[in-house]
Amino acid sequence: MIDERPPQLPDYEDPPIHEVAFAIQFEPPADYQQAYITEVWDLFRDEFPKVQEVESRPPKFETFGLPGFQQTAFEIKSGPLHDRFWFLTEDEVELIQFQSDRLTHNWRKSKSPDEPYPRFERILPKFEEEFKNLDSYFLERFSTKAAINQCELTYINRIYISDENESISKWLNINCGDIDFEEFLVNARKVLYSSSSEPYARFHCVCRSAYDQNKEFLLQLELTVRGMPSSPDLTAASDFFKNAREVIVYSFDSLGTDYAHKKWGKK
Amino acid sequence: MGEEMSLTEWQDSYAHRESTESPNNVFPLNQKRHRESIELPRVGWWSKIINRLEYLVTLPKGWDGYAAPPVRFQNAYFAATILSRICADDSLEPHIVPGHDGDLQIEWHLESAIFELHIIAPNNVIAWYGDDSTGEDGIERRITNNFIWAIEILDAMKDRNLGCATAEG
Repeated sequence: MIDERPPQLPDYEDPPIHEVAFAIQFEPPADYQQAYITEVWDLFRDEFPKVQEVESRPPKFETFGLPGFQQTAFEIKSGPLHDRFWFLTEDEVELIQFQSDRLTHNWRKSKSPDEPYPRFERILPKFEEEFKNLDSYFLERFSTKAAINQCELTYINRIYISDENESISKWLNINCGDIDFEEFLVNARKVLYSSSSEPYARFHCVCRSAYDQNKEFLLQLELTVRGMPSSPDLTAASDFFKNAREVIVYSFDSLGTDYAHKKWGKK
Repeated sequence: MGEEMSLTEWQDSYAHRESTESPNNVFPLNQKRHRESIELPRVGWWSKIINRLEYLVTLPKGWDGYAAPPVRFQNAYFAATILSRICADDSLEPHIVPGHDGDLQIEWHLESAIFELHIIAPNNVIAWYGDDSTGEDGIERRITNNFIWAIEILDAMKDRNLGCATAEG
Protein backbone atom coordinates (compact mmCIF):
# COMPACT_ATOMS: atom_id res chain seq x y z
CA MET A 1 0.00 0.00 0.00
CA ILE A 2 1.38 3.41 -0.93
CA ASP A 3 0.86 6.11 1.67
CA GLU A 4 -0.17 9.58 0.59
CA ARG A 5 2.38 12.33 0.67
CA PRO A 6 1.85 14.51 3.76
CA PRO A 7 0.04 17.53 2.29
CA GLN A 8 1.88 20.07 4.44
CA LEU A 9 5.33 19.09 3.12
CA PRO A 10 6.89 21.51 0.62
CA ASP A 11 6.69 20.02 -2.87
CA TYR A 12 8.50 20.68 -6.14
CA GLU A 13 7.74 19.87 -9.79
CA ASP A 14 11.37 19.35 -10.70
CA PRO A 15 13.65 19.12 -7.65
CA PRO A 16 17.36 18.65 -8.42
CA ILE A 17 17.43 15.17 -6.87
CA HIS A 18 20.26 13.06 -8.23
CA GLU A 19 20.24 10.06 -5.90
CA VAL A 20 18.28 8.77 -2.93
CA ALA A 21 19.42 6.01 -0.58
CA PHE A 22 17.53 4.18 2.17
CA ALA A 23 19.78 2.14 4.48
CA ILE A 24 19.23 -0.17 7.43
CA GLN A 25 22.15 -1.42 9.53
CA PHE A 26 21.67 -4.46 11.73
CA GLU A 27 23.60 -6.98 13.76
CA PRO A 28 24.73 -9.64 11.31
CA PRO A 29 23.70 -13.24 11.98
CA ALA A 30 26.58 -14.92 13.79
CA ASP A 31 26.67 -17.83 11.32
CA TYR A 32 26.44 -15.77 8.11
CA GLN A 33 29.30 -16.34 5.68
CA GLN A 34 29.91 -14.87 2.26
CA ALA A 35 29.30 -18.33 0.76
CA TYR A 36 25.57 -17.62 1.25
CA ILE A 37 25.53 -14.57 -1.02
CA THR A 38 23.78 -16.31 -3.92
CA GLU A 39 20.95 -17.25 -1.56
CA VAL A 40 20.64 -13.59 -0.62
CA TRP A 41 20.73 -12.51 -4.27
CA ASP A 42 17.99 -15.05 -5.05
CA LEU A 43 15.68 -13.05 -2.76
CA PHE A 44 15.91 -10.10 -5.15
CA ARG A 45 17.13 -11.53 -8.46
CA ASP A 46 13.84 -11.31 -10.34
CA GLU A 47 13.86 -7.52 -10.22
CA PHE A 48 17.63 -7.09 -9.74
CA PRO A 49 19.27 -9.48 -12.21
CA LYS A 50 22.68 -7.81 -12.38
CA VAL A 51 25.41 -7.94 -9.73
CA GLN A 52 28.62 -6.08 -8.91
CA GLU A 53 31.06 -6.68 -6.10
CA VAL A 54 32.57 -3.72 -4.24
CA GLU A 55 34.46 -3.05 -1.05
CA SER A 56 32.45 -3.31 2.16
CA ARG A 57 31.89 -0.34 4.44
CA PRO A 58 32.50 -0.24 8.20
CA PRO A 59 29.52 0.16 10.51
CA LYS A 60 28.31 3.66 11.36
CA PHE A 61 26.78 4.71 14.67
CA GLU A 62 25.44 8.06 15.73
CA THR A 63 26.29 8.57 19.40
CA PHE A 64 26.06 11.65 21.58
CA GLY A 65 28.46 13.10 24.11
CA LEU A 66 31.19 15.68 23.65
CA PRO A 67 29.98 18.64 21.60
CA GLY A 68 32.01 19.76 18.60
CA PHE A 69 32.81 16.15 17.99
CA GLN A 70 36.26 15.84 16.52
CA GLN A 71 36.30 12.84 14.27
CA THR A 72 39.06 10.43 15.08
CA ALA A 73 39.87 8.13 12.21
CA PHE A 74 40.08 4.48 13.02
CA GLU A 75 39.88 1.23 11.19
CA ILE A 76 39.36 -2.13 12.80
CA LYS A 77 40.42 -4.94 10.56
CA SER A 78 38.92 -8.29 11.42
CA GLY A 79 39.86 -11.71 10.00
CA PRO A 80 37.86 -12.65 6.90
CA LEU A 81 36.51 -9.52 5.20
CA HIS A 82 33.12 -9.65 3.54
CA ASP A 83 32.47 -7.75 0.34
CA ARG A 84 29.50 -5.57 -0.43
CA PHE A 85 27.29 -6.59 -3.33
CA TRP A 86 25.20 -4.42 -5.63
CA PHE A 87 22.14 -6.10 -7.08
CA LEU A 88 20.96 -3.91 -9.95
CA THR A 89 17.84 -3.60 -12.09
CA GLU A 90 18.32 -4.19 -15.80
CA ASP A 91 18.49 -0.44 -16.47
CA GLU A 92 20.67 0.06 -13.34
CA VAL A 93 18.49 2.92 -12.13
CA GLU A 94 17.73 1.15 -8.86
CA LEU A 95 19.90 -1.15 -6.86
CA ILE A 96 20.10 -2.99 -3.60
CA GLN A 97 23.38 -2.92 -1.73
CA PHE A 98 23.96 -5.84 0.62
CA GLN A 99 26.70 -6.70 3.06
CA SER A 100 26.47 -8.88 6.15
CA ASP A 101 25.31 -6.01 8.37
CA ARG A 102 23.56 -3.58 6.02
CA LEU A 103 20.87 -3.37 3.39
CA THR A 104 20.50 -0.27 1.21
CA HIS A 105 18.15 0.65 -1.63
CA ASN A 106 19.33 3.35 -4.07
CA TRP A 107 17.56 5.21 -6.83
CA ARG A 108 19.86 7.02 -9.27
CA LYS A 109 18.97 9.68 -11.79
CA SER A 110 22.34 9.34 -13.51
CA LYS A 111 21.28 6.12 -15.20
CA SER A 112 18.04 7.52 -16.57
CA PRO A 113 18.19 11.33 -16.65
CA ASP A 114 14.74 11.76 -18.22
CA GLU A 115 12.92 9.69 -15.64
CA PRO A 116 11.43 11.70 -12.79
CA TYR A 117 12.20 10.83 -9.19
CA PRO A 118 9.71 8.09 -8.25
CA ARG A 119 9.05 9.70 -4.86
CA PHE A 120 9.51 8.56 -1.29
CA GLU A 121 6.05 7.00 -1.05
CA ARG A 122 6.92 4.55 -3.84
CA ILE A 123 10.40 3.58 -2.70
CA LEU A 124 9.78 3.08 1.03
CA PRO A 125 7.26 0.21 0.67
CA LYS A 126 9.62 -1.52 -1.77
CA PHE A 127 12.49 -1.23 0.69
CA GLU A 128 10.30 -2.47 3.53
CA GLU A 129 9.42 -5.55 1.46
CA GLU A 130 13.08 -6.13 0.59
CA PHE A 131 14.07 -5.99 4.24
CA LYS A 132 11.21 -8.30 5.25
CA ASN A 133 12.42 -10.84 2.69
CA LEU A 134 15.95 -10.64 4.02
CA ASP A 135 14.76 -10.90 7.62
CA SER A 136 12.66 -13.97 6.82
CA TYR A 137 15.65 -15.54 5.11
CA PHE A 138 17.87 -14.88 8.15
CA LEU A 139 15.26 -16.45 10.42
CA GLU A 140 14.91 -19.53 8.26
CA ARG A 141 18.63 -19.96 7.59
CA PHE A 142 20.24 -18.82 10.83
CA SER A 143 17.34 -18.90 13.31
CA THR A 144 17.79 -15.21 14.03
CA LYS A 145 16.10 -12.01 12.98
CA ALA A 146 18.03 -8.89 12.05
CA ALA A 147 18.20 -6.49 15.01
CA ILE A 148 18.20 -3.02 13.45
CA ASN A 149 20.59 -0.60 15.13
CA GLN A 150 20.85 2.32 12.68
CA CYS A 151 18.76 3.79 9.87
CA GLU A 152 19.93 6.29 7.29
CA LEU A 153 18.16 8.30 4.62
CA THR A 154 20.18 10.33 2.12
CA TYR A 155 19.09 12.73 -0.61
CA ILE A 156 21.78 13.93 -3.01
CA ASN A 157 20.89 16.99 -5.05
CA ARG A 158 22.83 18.41 -7.96
CA ILE A 159 22.28 22.09 -8.57
CA TYR A 160 23.66 22.96 -11.98
CA ILE A 161 24.94 26.50 -12.26
CA SER A 162 25.44 27.74 -15.79
CA ASP A 163 27.76 30.54 -14.80
CA GLU A 164 30.68 29.59 -12.56
CA ASN A 165 30.83 33.18 -11.38
CA GLU A 166 27.25 33.03 -10.14
CA SER A 167 27.11 33.41 -6.39
CA ILE A 168 26.19 30.35 -4.32
CA SER A 169 23.84 32.54 -2.33
CA LYS A 170 21.70 32.99 -5.45
CA TRP A 171 20.67 29.34 -5.05
CA LEU A 172 21.18 28.52 -1.40
CA ASN A 173 20.70 30.54 1.76
CA ILE A 174 24.40 30.41 2.52
CA ASN A 175 25.98 33.82 2.82
CA CYS A 176 29.49 34.01 1.43
CA GLY A 177 29.76 37.76 1.74
CA ASP A 178 31.55 39.34 -1.20
CA ILE A 179 34.14 36.60 -1.38
CA ASP A 180 34.46 34.93 -4.74
CA PHE A 181 35.51 31.44 -3.60
CA GLU A 182 37.40 29.21 -5.99
CA GLU A 183 36.09 26.14 -4.23
CA PHE A 184 33.34 25.62 -1.72
CA LEU A 185 32.82 22.93 0.89
CA VAL A 186 30.55 23.09 3.92
CA ASN A 187 29.84 20.25 6.32
CA ALA A 188 27.26 20.96 9.00
CA ARG A 189 25.43 18.75 11.51
CA LYS A 190 22.44 19.07 13.79
CA VAL A 191 21.29 16.77 16.57
CA LEU A 192 17.68 15.58 16.32
CA TYR A 193 15.66 14.92 19.47
CA SER A 194 12.77 12.56 20.12
CA SER A 195 9.50 13.60 21.73
CA SER A 196 11.05 12.63 25.08
CA SER A 197 13.91 15.10 24.46
CA GLU A 198 16.49 12.37 23.97
CA PRO A 199 18.94 12.65 21.05
CA TYR A 200 18.25 9.89 18.54
CA ALA A 201 19.73 10.99 15.20
CA ARG A 202 21.82 13.56 13.37
CA PHE A 203 21.02 15.60 10.32
CA HIS A 204 24.09 16.04 8.10
CA CYS A 205 24.32 18.69 5.40
CA VAL A 206 27.26 18.66 2.99
CA CYS A 207 27.44 21.19 0.19
CA ARG A 208 30.35 21.40 -2.20
CA SER A 209 31.23 22.78 -5.60
CA ALA A 210 32.24 20.31 -8.29
CA TYR A 211 32.23 19.40 -11.97
CA ASP A 212 30.41 16.42 -13.38
CA GLN A 213 31.78 14.08 -16.05
CA ASN A 214 30.65 16.51 -18.77
CA LYS A 215 32.65 19.25 -17.05
CA GLU A 216 29.48 21.08 -16.08
CA PHE A 217 29.75 23.14 -12.90
CA LEU A 218 27.40 22.30 -10.05
CA LEU A 219 26.75 22.43 -6.35
CA GLN A 220 26.22 19.01 -4.80
CA LEU A 221 23.95 19.19 -1.76
CA GLU A 222 23.81 16.01 0.32
CA LEU A 223 21.23 15.80 3.06
CA THR A 224 21.36 12.80 5.40
CA VAL A 225 19.55 11.76 8.55
CA ARG A 226 21.20 8.89 10.42
CA GLY A 227 20.37 7.44 13.81
CA MET A 228 18.78 4.84 16.02
CA PRO A 229 15.14 3.79 15.51
CA SER A 230 12.96 3.73 18.63
CA SER A 231 13.09 -0.09 18.63
CA PRO A 232 15.15 -2.58 16.58
CA ASP A 233 12.34 -3.59 14.21
CA LEU A 234 11.03 -2.66 10.79
CA THR A 235 7.99 -0.74 12.04
CA ALA A 236 10.24 1.61 14.01
CA ALA A 237 12.63 1.84 11.06
CA SER A 238 9.76 2.88 8.77
CA ASP A 239 8.74 5.58 11.24
CA PHE A 240 12.35 6.71 11.32
CA PHE A 241 12.44 7.06 7.54
CA LYS A 242 9.19 9.03 7.47
CA ASN A 243 10.48 11.46 10.11
CA ALA A 244 13.87 11.66 8.38
CA ARG A 245 12.22 12.51 5.09
CA GLU A 246 10.35 15.40 6.69
CA VAL A 247 13.56 16.75 8.25
CA ILE A 248 15.30 16.57 4.88
CA VAL A 249 12.48 18.13 2.88
CA TYR A 250 11.98 21.01 5.32
CA SER A 251 15.74 21.59 5.43
CA PHE A 252 16.02 21.52 1.65
CA ASP A 253 13.18 24.02 1.43
CA SER A 254 14.80 26.25 4.02
CA LEU A 255 18.21 26.14 2.31
CA GLY A 256 16.84 27.02 -1.14
CA THR A 257 16.36 30.67 -2.10
CA ASP A 258 13.20 32.05 -3.72
CA TYR A 259 15.12 32.01 -7.02
CA ALA A 260 15.94 28.32 -6.58
CA HIS A 261 12.38 27.48 -5.56
CA LYS A 262 11.11 29.05 -8.79
CA LYS A 263 13.64 27.14 -10.89
CA TRP A 264 12.64 23.87 -9.22
CA GLY A 265 8.93 24.53 -9.62
CA LYS A 266 7.90 24.86 -6.01
CA LYS A 267 4.15 24.20 -5.73
CA MET B 1 28.21 27.52 9.61
CA GLY B 2 29.53 24.30 11.12
CA GLU B 3 32.56 22.14 11.11
CA GLU B 4 34.49 22.19 7.82
CA MET B 5 36.49 19.26 6.63
CA SER B 6 39.54 19.44 4.47
CA LEU B 7 39.03 18.13 0.98
CA THR B 8 40.92 14.95 1.72
CA GLU B 9 38.96 14.33 4.92
CA TRP B 10 35.83 14.66 2.83
CA GLN B 11 37.20 12.22 0.28
CA ASP B 12 37.81 9.70 3.04
CA SER B 13 34.38 10.19 4.53
CA TYR B 14 32.73 10.03 1.10
CA ALA B 15 33.65 6.36 0.88
CA HIS B 16 31.44 5.73 3.90
CA ARG B 17 28.32 7.17 2.37
CA GLU B 18 25.52 5.01 1.00
CA SER B 19 25.61 6.87 -2.32
CA THR B 20 26.77 4.90 -5.32
CA GLU B 21 28.49 7.99 -6.71
CA SER B 22 32.21 7.49 -6.27
CA PRO B 23 34.40 10.61 -5.97
CA ASN B 24 35.47 9.88 -9.55
CA ASN B 25 32.03 10.77 -10.93
CA VAL B 26 32.03 14.24 -9.49
CA PHE B 27 35.26 16.15 -9.63
CA PRO B 28 36.00 18.74 -7.02
CA LEU B 29 37.63 21.79 -8.47
CA ASN B 30 40.81 20.80 -6.66
CA GLN B 31 41.95 17.80 -8.68
CA LYS B 32 43.96 16.28 -5.82
CA ARG B 33 42.34 12.91 -5.41
CA HIS B 34 44.81 10.88 -3.44
CA ARG B 35 43.93 10.01 0.12
CA GLU B 36 46.02 11.50 2.85
CA SER B 37 46.25 9.93 6.24
CA ILE B 38 44.10 11.65 8.81
CA GLU B 39 45.28 9.39 11.60
CA LEU B 40 45.76 12.06 14.24
CA PRO B 41 45.20 10.40 17.61
CA ARG B 42 43.55 12.80 19.98
CA VAL B 43 44.85 10.90 22.95
CA GLY B 44 48.16 9.08 23.41
CA TRP B 45 46.58 5.67 24.07
CA TRP B 46 44.23 5.70 21.06
CA SER B 47 46.27 3.45 18.75
CA LYS B 48 46.86 1.01 21.60
CA ILE B 49 43.09 0.74 22.10
CA ILE B 50 42.43 0.21 18.38
CA ASN B 51 45.09 -2.50 18.31
CA ARG B 52 43.47 -4.12 21.33
CA LEU B 53 40.04 -4.08 19.65
CA GLU B 54 41.53 -5.57 16.47
CA TYR B 55 43.05 -8.32 18.58
CA LEU B 56 39.76 -9.05 20.36
CA VAL B 57 37.71 -9.42 17.14
CA THR B 58 40.18 -12.05 15.92
CA LEU B 59 40.25 -14.19 19.06
CA PRO B 60 39.76 -17.87 18.27
CA LYS B 61 36.51 -19.49 19.29
CA GLY B 62 36.95 -20.99 22.74
CA TRP B 63 39.60 -18.44 23.70
CA ASP B 64 38.37 -18.66 27.28
CA GLY B 65 38.88 -22.39 27.47
CA TYR B 66 35.16 -23.04 26.82
CA ALA B 67 33.17 -21.83 23.80
CA ALA B 68 33.46 -18.06 23.88
CA PRO B 69 33.35 -16.44 20.45
CA PRO B 70 35.54 -13.47 19.54
CA VAL B 71 34.25 -10.00 20.28
CA ARG B 72 31.67 -9.12 17.63
CA PHE B 73 32.91 -6.68 15.02
CA GLN B 74 30.03 -4.24 15.48
CA ASN B 75 30.59 -4.25 19.23
CA ALA B 76 34.25 -3.36 18.75
CA TYR B 77 33.31 -0.58 16.34
CA PHE B 78 30.66 0.72 18.70
CA ALA B 79 33.22 0.74 21.52
CA ALA B 80 35.65 2.78 19.42
CA THR B 81 32.84 5.16 18.45
CA ILE B 82 31.92 5.66 22.12
CA LEU B 83 35.52 6.33 23.14
CA SER B 84 35.89 8.76 20.27
CA ARG B 85 32.80 10.55 21.59
CA ILE B 86 33.52 10.64 25.33
CA CYS B 87 37.30 10.92 25.72
CA ALA B 88 39.06 14.24 25.69
CA ASP B 89 42.77 14.78 25.15
CA ASP B 90 43.53 14.28 28.83
CA SER B 91 41.15 11.42 29.56
CA LEU B 92 42.23 8.46 31.65
CA GLU B 93 43.30 5.44 29.66
CA PRO B 94 40.64 2.71 29.52
CA HIS B 95 41.09 -1.05 29.55
CA ILE B 96 39.15 -3.32 27.22
CA VAL B 97 38.04 -6.73 28.44
CA PRO B 98 36.28 -9.30 26.24
CA GLY B 99 33.04 -10.95 27.42
CA HIS B 100 32.01 -14.54 26.85
CA ASP B 101 29.31 -13.86 24.29
CA GLY B 102 30.89 -11.52 21.75
CA ASP B 103 30.41 -8.62 24.15
CA LEU B 104 33.08 -6.47 25.76
CA GLN B 105 33.68 -4.12 28.65
CA ILE B 106 35.49 -0.79 28.72
CA GLU B 107 36.86 -0.10 32.18
CA TRP B 108 38.56 2.72 34.02
CA HIS B 109 40.17 1.94 37.36
CA LEU B 110 41.40 4.20 40.10
CA GLU B 111 42.29 3.12 43.61
CA SER B 112 39.12 4.73 44.85
CA ALA B 113 36.74 4.44 41.88
CA ILE B 114 35.76 2.14 39.05
CA PHE B 115 33.75 2.91 35.93
CA GLU B 116 32.63 0.24 33.48
CA LEU B 117 30.77 0.32 30.18
CA HIS B 118 29.51 -3.14 29.31
CA ILE B 119 28.73 -3.21 25.59
CA ILE B 120 26.23 -6.02 25.06
CA ALA B 121 25.35 -4.80 21.56
CA PRO B 122 25.26 -1.47 19.71
CA ASN B 123 22.81 0.84 21.50
CA ASN B 124 22.70 -1.59 24.46
CA VAL B 125 25.23 -0.61 27.10
CA ILE B 126 25.18 -1.08 30.86
CA ALA B 127 27.19 1.58 32.67
CA TRP B 128 28.32 1.03 36.24
CA TYR B 129 30.16 3.40 38.55
CA GLY B 130 31.37 2.75 42.09
CA ASP B 131 33.45 4.65 44.62
CA ASP B 132 33.57 4.97 48.38
CA SER B 133 30.42 7.09 48.40
CA THR B 134 28.24 4.77 46.27
CA GLY B 135 28.83 1.62 48.29
CA GLU B 136 29.28 -1.82 46.79
CA ASP B 137 26.12 -1.60 44.69
CA GLY B 138 27.41 1.45 42.86
CA ILE B 139 25.28 3.31 40.32
CA GLU B 140 24.05 1.45 37.27
CA ARG B 141 22.46 2.94 34.16
CA ARG B 142 21.39 1.51 30.86
CA ILE B 143 22.57 3.61 27.92
CA THR B 144 21.62 3.40 24.25
CA ASN B 145 23.42 6.21 22.40
CA ASN B 146 23.66 9.19 24.78
CA PHE B 147 26.93 9.15 26.74
CA ILE B 148 26.77 12.52 28.50
CA TRP B 149 26.69 10.78 31.89
CA ALA B 150 29.82 8.81 30.99
CA ILE B 151 31.63 12.07 30.22
CA GLU B 152 30.62 13.49 33.62
CA ILE B 153 31.89 10.36 35.36
CA LEU B 154 35.20 10.41 33.49
CA ASP B 155 35.69 14.11 34.28
CA ALA B 156 35.07 13.41 37.95
CA MET B 157 37.50 10.48 37.91
CA LYS B 158 40.13 12.60 36.21
CA ASP B 159 39.76 15.26 38.92
CA ARG B 160 39.92 12.57 41.58
CA ASN B 161 43.09 11.20 40.00
CA LEU B 162 44.68 14.63 39.81
CA GLY B 163 43.75 15.22 43.42
CA CYS B 164 45.51 11.99 44.42
CA ALA B 165 48.57 12.89 42.38
CA THR B 166 48.74 16.31 44.01
CA ALA B 167 48.39 14.82 47.48
CA GLU B 168 51.15 12.32 46.78
CA GLY B 169 53.37 14.98 45.29
